[in-house]
Amino acid sequence: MDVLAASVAGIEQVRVRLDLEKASMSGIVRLTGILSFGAFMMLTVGCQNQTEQTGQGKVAVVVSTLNNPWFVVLGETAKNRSEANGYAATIFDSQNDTAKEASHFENVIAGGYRAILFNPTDADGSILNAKKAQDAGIPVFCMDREINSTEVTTAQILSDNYSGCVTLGQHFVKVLEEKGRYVEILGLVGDNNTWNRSEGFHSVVDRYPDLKMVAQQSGEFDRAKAMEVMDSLLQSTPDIDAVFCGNDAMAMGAYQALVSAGKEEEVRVFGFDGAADVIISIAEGKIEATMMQFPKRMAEIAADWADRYLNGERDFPSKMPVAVELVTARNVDEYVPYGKEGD
Amino acid sequence: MAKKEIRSFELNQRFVGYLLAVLATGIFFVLYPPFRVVPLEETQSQAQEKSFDASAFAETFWTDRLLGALDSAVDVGKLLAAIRDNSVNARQEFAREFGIGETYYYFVSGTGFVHSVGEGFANISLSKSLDSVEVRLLTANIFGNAIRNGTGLLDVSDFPNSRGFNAISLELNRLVETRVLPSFRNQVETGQAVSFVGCAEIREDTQEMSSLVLVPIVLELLPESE
Repeated sequence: MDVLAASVAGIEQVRVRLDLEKASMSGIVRLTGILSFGAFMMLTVGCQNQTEQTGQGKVAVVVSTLNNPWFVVLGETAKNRSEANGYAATIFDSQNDTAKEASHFENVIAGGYRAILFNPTDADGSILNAKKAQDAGIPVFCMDREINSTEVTTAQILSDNYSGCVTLGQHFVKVLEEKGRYVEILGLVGDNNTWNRSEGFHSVVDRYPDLKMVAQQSGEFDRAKAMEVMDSLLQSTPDIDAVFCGNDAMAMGAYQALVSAGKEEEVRVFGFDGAADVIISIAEGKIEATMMQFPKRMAEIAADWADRYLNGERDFPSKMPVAVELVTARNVDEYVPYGKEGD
Repeated sequence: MAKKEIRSFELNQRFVGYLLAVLATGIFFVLYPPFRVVPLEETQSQAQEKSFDASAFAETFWTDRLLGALDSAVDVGKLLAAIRDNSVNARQEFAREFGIGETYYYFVSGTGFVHSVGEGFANISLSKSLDSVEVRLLTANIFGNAIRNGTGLLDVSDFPNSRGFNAISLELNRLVETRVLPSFRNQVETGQAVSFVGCAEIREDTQEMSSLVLVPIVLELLPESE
């Protein structure tokens, strides 16, 4: 039985029992139990932020994790834009877990949502979820993260991570003057963004034989995990000149580890995202560079395309890359967190 | 005494039993390990193996499609005149866009004269007097997606996994480095006439470019008379 239906059933039971047993003490005890069950089930629908339904119906925003401010911006923007387009929107947090994501999709399908704005947890593992929605006649629009099938989504609006990291790699080579030892902290290994970033970076940096990667480890796109990884790497390979991180949360985690080891002045940190704390840190000279993605832009396009789809349009590109831009101390004043000045 | 022997026999029996159990467990885990440590590089290459063969794709694309599409490249003189006249209109008329952003591409052909040769590039003047540089041909490491995106022959929507699409760029760049550049680098001299076809990647924030930077697809040094 899916969670949403269970919570509705729980509430219905409460109503019936209210009529039959309102004078009875044992009924009150039972009522308390049922109420607790209903409340519990509603909470388990979990980590979601529901708004009142409006005339156009409901849109679901399923986000890989809300434990990273970047995805909070992506999810909130998609939700706000959908609401501005006349829909009730709900954010579902998958907590980087495909099983939770699958459960959200079941709820969304059972709950009568009309479209899904989807930030998947896994390029392969999320295909089945999108397929279920498609089979139920619900269009799926991917935001930022790709799934390895264009058959089950209406469109995928994605950052051009590879090109971004070609640019970042060229900047990396320039800053390090073509020589030095560095470590790479990867994102989630099941996510295409992780490898597109890494492969774009290495398509440049590997051409310079005096730039040596001395360690490569996953920090799972997580700040605390990256801090832990960097801490451990600094003990095994202390003599490094730079660290390339697959996202800004990990760049901040790596920087914190470098501060703890007293090495923040000698090791250059490179990130990817354009998150608020990294933009500030670039301006302060703590982080060397990042690539600005545009989460608001991607979320707005996804929400608008969902609206157009629900109004009858069917002609969408399967994939729509969105360019990313290099942010360094030289041009940081042109940018704001998660976008560009004036966006 | 007999009791002691029986007890000792029982202890030995129990010990052998434990030993066999430990051995059996050990053999079981050797045959069916509960987990396996896999290097990240291995998972990465396994994932790539699942995708298509970018090298073979690039090879076929180069021979069967790209070389047959060279006529669709815009003439460099015409393009530069259009840019000088109105860069926004020139972009609308001649550029190829890739997704949403401020980067766009030109697919260009032309003939010029080698103005100067530097590390990783050759500057080209469109006039024989060599009084200006209009084109810079890249002649060393080739990075990025200029050819893949600039020709307009490939569509990202045709590739379910963007990693495969990106790998095409890497392979096309490798073909440029191995097939197009070596003979040119070995023979080029200042003042020589050269015929070229290539792609330029333009970023909106570098509009003040002084010359068109091209990743060459075809480079041919022409005889003196031309």
